[in-house]
Amino acid sequence: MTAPLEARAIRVERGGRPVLDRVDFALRTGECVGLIGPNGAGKTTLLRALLGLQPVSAGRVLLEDRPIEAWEPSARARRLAYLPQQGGQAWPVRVERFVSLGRLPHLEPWRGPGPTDREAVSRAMAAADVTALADRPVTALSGGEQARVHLARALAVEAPLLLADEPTAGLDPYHQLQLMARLRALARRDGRAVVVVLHDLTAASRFCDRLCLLNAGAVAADGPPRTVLTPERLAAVYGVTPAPHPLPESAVLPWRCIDETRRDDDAA
Amino acid sequence: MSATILDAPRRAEPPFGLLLAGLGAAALVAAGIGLLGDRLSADAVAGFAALLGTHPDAAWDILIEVRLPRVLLGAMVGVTLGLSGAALQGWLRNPLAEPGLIGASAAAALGAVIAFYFGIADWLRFALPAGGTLGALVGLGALLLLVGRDPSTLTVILAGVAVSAFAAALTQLALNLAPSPYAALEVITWMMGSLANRSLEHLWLALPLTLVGWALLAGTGRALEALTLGEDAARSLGVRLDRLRWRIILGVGLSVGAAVSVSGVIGFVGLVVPHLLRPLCGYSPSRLLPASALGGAALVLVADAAVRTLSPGPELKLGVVTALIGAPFFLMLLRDVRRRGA
Amino acid sequence: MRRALHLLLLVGVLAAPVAAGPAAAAADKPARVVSLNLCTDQLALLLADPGQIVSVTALGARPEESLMAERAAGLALNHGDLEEVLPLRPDLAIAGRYTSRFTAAALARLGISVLELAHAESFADVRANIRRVAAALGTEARGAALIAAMDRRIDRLRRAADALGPAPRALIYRAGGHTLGPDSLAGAVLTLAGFENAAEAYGIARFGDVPVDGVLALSPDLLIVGVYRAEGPSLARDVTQHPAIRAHGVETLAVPTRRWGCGVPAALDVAERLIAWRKAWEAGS
Repeated sequence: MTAPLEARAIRVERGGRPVLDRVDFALRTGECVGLIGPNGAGKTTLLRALLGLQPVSAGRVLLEDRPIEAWEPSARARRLAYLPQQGGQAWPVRVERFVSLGRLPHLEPWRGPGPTDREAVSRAMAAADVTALADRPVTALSGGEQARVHLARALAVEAPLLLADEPTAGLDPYHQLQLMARLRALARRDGRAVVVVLHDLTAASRFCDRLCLLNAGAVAADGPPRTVLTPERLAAVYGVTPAPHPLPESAVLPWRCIDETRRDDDAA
Repeated sequence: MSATILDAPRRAEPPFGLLLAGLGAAALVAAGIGLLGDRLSADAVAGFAALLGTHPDAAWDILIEVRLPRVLLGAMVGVTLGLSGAALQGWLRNPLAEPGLIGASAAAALGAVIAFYFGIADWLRFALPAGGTLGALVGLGALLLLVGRDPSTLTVILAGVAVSAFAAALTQLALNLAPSPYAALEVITWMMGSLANRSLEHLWLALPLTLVGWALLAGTGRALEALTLGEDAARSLGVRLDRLRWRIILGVGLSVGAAVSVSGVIGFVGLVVPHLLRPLCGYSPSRLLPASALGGAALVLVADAAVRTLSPGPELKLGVVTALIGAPFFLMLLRDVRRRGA
Repeated sequence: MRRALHLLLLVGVLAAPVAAGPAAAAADKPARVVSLNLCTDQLALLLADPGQIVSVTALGARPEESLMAERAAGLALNHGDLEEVLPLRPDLAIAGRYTSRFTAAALARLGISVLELAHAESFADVRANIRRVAAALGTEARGAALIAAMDRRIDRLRRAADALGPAPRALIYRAGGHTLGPDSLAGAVLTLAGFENAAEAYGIARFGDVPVDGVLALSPDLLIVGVYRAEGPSLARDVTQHPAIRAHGVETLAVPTRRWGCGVPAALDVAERLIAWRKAWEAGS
């Protein structure tokens, strides 16, 4: 299988400290890859480096075998869609117009969106379940609704590659499941490729074909969920351990803290 | 940050073509009044139509050499201020951004004051507009040096405040050291902003740089649209932020510098016009550009026709009148913010 | 609203046969002169033939500002705007150097002669300005007579001043602590009246500001307070009410600014008053 997007031994420094070091990553067509790791592991930085938004001090990022920085920006944008972690909405634009911003890389100079673009927008809105919100101003929506509108905007690009940074944050369980199923279908059924940053390890193991576990700026493990999410690795990287079956207490989460000092996942 | 100000109750959004046509028609009507209206309080002076019967030469001079340049310059200044305000607000994603913010107005004023101060404007009639434009470009050069390679909006705003403050301080210094109190008085009067008594030569001198500025700003619509999503998302959509920054800073600098150098400082137009028109454009930053350009022209032409025809005694300064209209506008914003906060 | 109808009127007038052109002006003298500045108003009204001036500034017609307000009665008043001036079809415009730059430039562009006068800072400047205005108006003889009379009066005043004792020290004091040095017309009047200009000791040659403590340090024998109106409060006069200055008992003399604000021979009236003050001062001390 080909790898349209690839990072080879990339290094990113911030204030002289490496944030990513010798990271290899490949995204193949048709797969949905979960990018996981504790806070500060470098997930967002890796995503931005893959998009060409983050300059690398060593190594390189290749999009269809060409260095990412050599791409003409709008050609790159048609191949590589990005859903940032904190979506901005500077103005109270109507949802439909907001979603159609995803079509910008496709527009001819000085032309508005055409029929193809409008179809793509309505497909994306249906996929993210925001069709009913089409005429609402985007700033008047709830956090979860806004997250879905941002997803629709990213889907409207209809790029072969989609990089999404914590798209499930702020979504209710129903829309989380729906979103993950949608991303998996995008990869499996439509032949695209998806990288999704996740904190929900259950969702990650359920919906992703492959997981890439980052820890302290390096790849700790990369492979099918079953081989990545071993109890030893979870303990070493996250400081959590899977709960035994059956649950000895009435817990909602299937894991618990190993010790008090590492309870908050921000403490690391 | 700013979204709270803008979550105003939604007004109906008219068809975009109709909006542009309406604004254009308003500008044309104001231009017509500017060309043909006489001063209401001027009893000692023959009206234009009366003059046309008795002394047609003088009447045509008034129409072609006095009022036509005034109306054309008014349209030019209005388009510049509206367009610059819309571009800056879209770029910085801040409804309080305006041409004065990045130091263009203050630096242009300084350049013109230097032309006054060293007497260059005495022996070279067009040293004044040239000085203003040069001042704006030097100010923007300083801004770009201060901003360095960091394109963040906060850096730009801080650098703009620094450039503005320094230019204003130097202007005060020049006034303080002026060779004659009458020269200082002239500068102060000029800085109030006016279109009175300008000639077509002012237009020819200011227009080339203005057109370059407009062309640079007109091409920013799509990038501003993408910036609605934030900087990272905009870049992922193929927007080159570094290029956008250059376009906007140069576009605003050239056009505002040229405008300030012929008209003095006319405040608030660049702030008020985009803000009022934004809901009518569906909050689309790219639609706001042509709408604000026409709206700015309409506002400046209406205000100028008003000061010219309605002033009792000495003509009021246009810049003073726009400031009188504009200052309460902040009260409106404040009221909206507080209502939302309550 | 009524003015909006002018569009219709305009159409009507365009259709009507065009009236005869303006009558040919007299060959040598300008017949329709406008003045665009308060100080040029003074000179123009002094030197012109009756009827030669068609418009002066609105300030020139105000007695608080202008020495020639009476002669301005009945003339069209302008504020330096083109739209006020052009309908008068002037053949000469006299403008100050700074105050109506754009108007003067536009008039010149329209082929109207423009005489631009610098502000007079000395008696030599006054003579030069009188000569230039007289030449432009075609009233050279009147100008020469005015200059001769002024020079005779200067001589007389100088003799009167020389006959008096040691020079007292005076400081001109206007709104905001503004003062004038020896290189100004007021300074020249002060020198003529035999005063030492205290501003010079403060390092001021043409104009500048002196704070209240500076006034005390200079300890002038006389504070010549510039007043704009004879009655009513003035910012400069407030300074004389400052406790420190009152405690020192500095003598003050109020002089309306209009008397010596412009470069005209009447500025010598102030020298006359100053010499009279010196006589009283010497008698008193």
